[in-house]
Amino acid sequence: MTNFKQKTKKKRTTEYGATPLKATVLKKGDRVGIVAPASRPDGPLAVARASSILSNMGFTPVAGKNVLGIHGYLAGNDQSRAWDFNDFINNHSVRGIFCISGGYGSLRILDLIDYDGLKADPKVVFGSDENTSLLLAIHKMTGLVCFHGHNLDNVNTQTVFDDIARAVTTTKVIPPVETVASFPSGFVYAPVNATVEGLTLGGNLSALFSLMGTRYQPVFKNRILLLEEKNERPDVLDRLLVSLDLSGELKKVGALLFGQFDNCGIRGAYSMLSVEELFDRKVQDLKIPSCFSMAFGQTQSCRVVPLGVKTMAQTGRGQIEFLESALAR
Amino acid sequence: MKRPPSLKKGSTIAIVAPSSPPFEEGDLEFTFQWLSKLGLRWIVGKHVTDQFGDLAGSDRDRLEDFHEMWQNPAVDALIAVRGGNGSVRLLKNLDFDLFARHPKILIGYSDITGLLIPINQASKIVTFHGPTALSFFESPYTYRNFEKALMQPKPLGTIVDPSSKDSWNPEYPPYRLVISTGKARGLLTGGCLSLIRQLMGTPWEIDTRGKIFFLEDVGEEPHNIDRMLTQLELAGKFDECAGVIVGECISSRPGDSRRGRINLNFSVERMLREKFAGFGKPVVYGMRLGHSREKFTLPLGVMAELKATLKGSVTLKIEEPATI
Repeated sequence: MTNFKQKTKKKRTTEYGATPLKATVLKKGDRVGIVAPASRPDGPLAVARASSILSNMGFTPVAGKNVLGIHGYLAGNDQSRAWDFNDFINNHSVRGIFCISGGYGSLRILDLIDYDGLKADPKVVFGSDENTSLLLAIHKMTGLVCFHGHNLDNVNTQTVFDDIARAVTTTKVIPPVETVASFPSGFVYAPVNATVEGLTLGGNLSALFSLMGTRYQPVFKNRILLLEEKNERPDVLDRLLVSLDLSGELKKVGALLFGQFDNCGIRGAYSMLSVEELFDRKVQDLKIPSCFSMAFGQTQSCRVVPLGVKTMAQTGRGQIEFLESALAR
Repeated sequence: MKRPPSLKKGSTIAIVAPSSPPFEEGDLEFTFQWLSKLGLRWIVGKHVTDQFGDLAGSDRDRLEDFHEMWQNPAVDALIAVRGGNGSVRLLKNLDFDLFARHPKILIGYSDITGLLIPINQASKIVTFHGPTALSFFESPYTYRNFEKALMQPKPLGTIVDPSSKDSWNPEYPPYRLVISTGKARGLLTGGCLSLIRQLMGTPWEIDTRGKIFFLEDVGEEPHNIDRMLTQLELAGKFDECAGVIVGECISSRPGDSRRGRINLNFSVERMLREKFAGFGKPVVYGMRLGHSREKFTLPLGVMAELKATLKGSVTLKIEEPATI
């Protein structure tokens, strides 16, 4: 099933041009595709609800033919999941591709994606969680600005809905992303306080780390890196951050902003260090401008963050301000 | 590739904790009894029972113990007390020249893979994927293989499976499932998959070129094992190797890791059968070489031959001695 003949040449230092590739802004009535590149969504109800979300935004949703495929923990085999994605890439009438679910499996189809097709006809690519690997691979291979935001099966509030609707329909600069509301108000924990400009990068830590050592490994230099995770042990997450450091890439980033780490606590092991403390030690050790609790991740207080746009991060204020639009007219 | 000297009666073993400490200190009493039985002496690192989070003390203290023991001319071998977490944190500051100048036996598994592969590759010495100080006596099979690998400078020869204690209720997986047939000859490399993955993208990333690549893990759902294997696949690690041995992955049957998932998912075996369909090189699954109670010791950097036939027979032969 896997094509082992396909040699993967490593090109770790490829930098694309100063002007990133941007998709055209979505307009009322635009056709948008729904795909499941990873695990299967929760059946027809989930697909209907996702369609309804997109049509309420004013678009015309089209579900991928294989969106409800079943293949173990995958939504259909690799070929069928990639086929859906490429079908939308190569259909000019489809202006956006939205992931409906995460889980696991986007990583498996990275060698099957039609990157040239997407480069020739850039469109909105939207998703998160496991689909981080897909967003980052696309960004690496094409330079396209991709959208890190809730998979459609995780859009559960009007706030999230409005945030997504705005992000994909405006050529204006979107409002800054800040920390989630805290007590006392205005509290921000910033181990290293600095103001840094750079292009955004990031997503789910496990999915991002899965690209290390492959040709899809992101370019970290001068990036404003945002990380999030859900349901993982702190020691496992620490392993990944330690490795990013060892690779020499972590110290190249402009700033490192930690988002939401939902259910990544110490689970009753009182002598364990929390993921925040482990990360804190690392960024202080490397003197990387950083802060915690950004509205970035999978909880309903999180925002859409376009990956690959110019931003200014002020870690002491727990804020990233966008300096350019994510979409073209 | 330099080989460390074999252990003899009267040799001294250093017990070190480059990762996590023992769960209970008293567990080491059993270690001492069994080392005596082998006629070996021992010395315990200063920080072995320290605790800092899940680590046996700070990175600096664990590093200091490790270097001190390796520098000590009286020490003939270093055995990790346990895996756990933390070995990779030491890599930036390890003195790889020291290890190259004075080859000594280094043995352990699980998190210790984070030292075995880098030291094997950077210091060009044979390192040992085998039991820890707390587990070399956990079964007669593990004990005999440990002794054989470390205490005599002869080739380990053909690996023999543990004898089945109870053929009425055999434990899945069978010791040798053929996933893909073929014949391969190459130096051994590998270890715990989580650690092999953790080294990806770093200067100590595993080099599988022309090698027989063994791996295993514990407490991971099949889709997590898939994720780690896919990362290695995308990096060309399977294209480049000569053959693959996937050891039994303990607590990794669907739902087994108890991470809150139900158990009607694809198994590791099914995932492997799909991933390696038409691979054209030998891939075997099930050998007891990692977190299982029975395990054989595998020297990294030693020539071996792996054969897997259509009839389902598997031979793994270690052709060279691991020690001098």
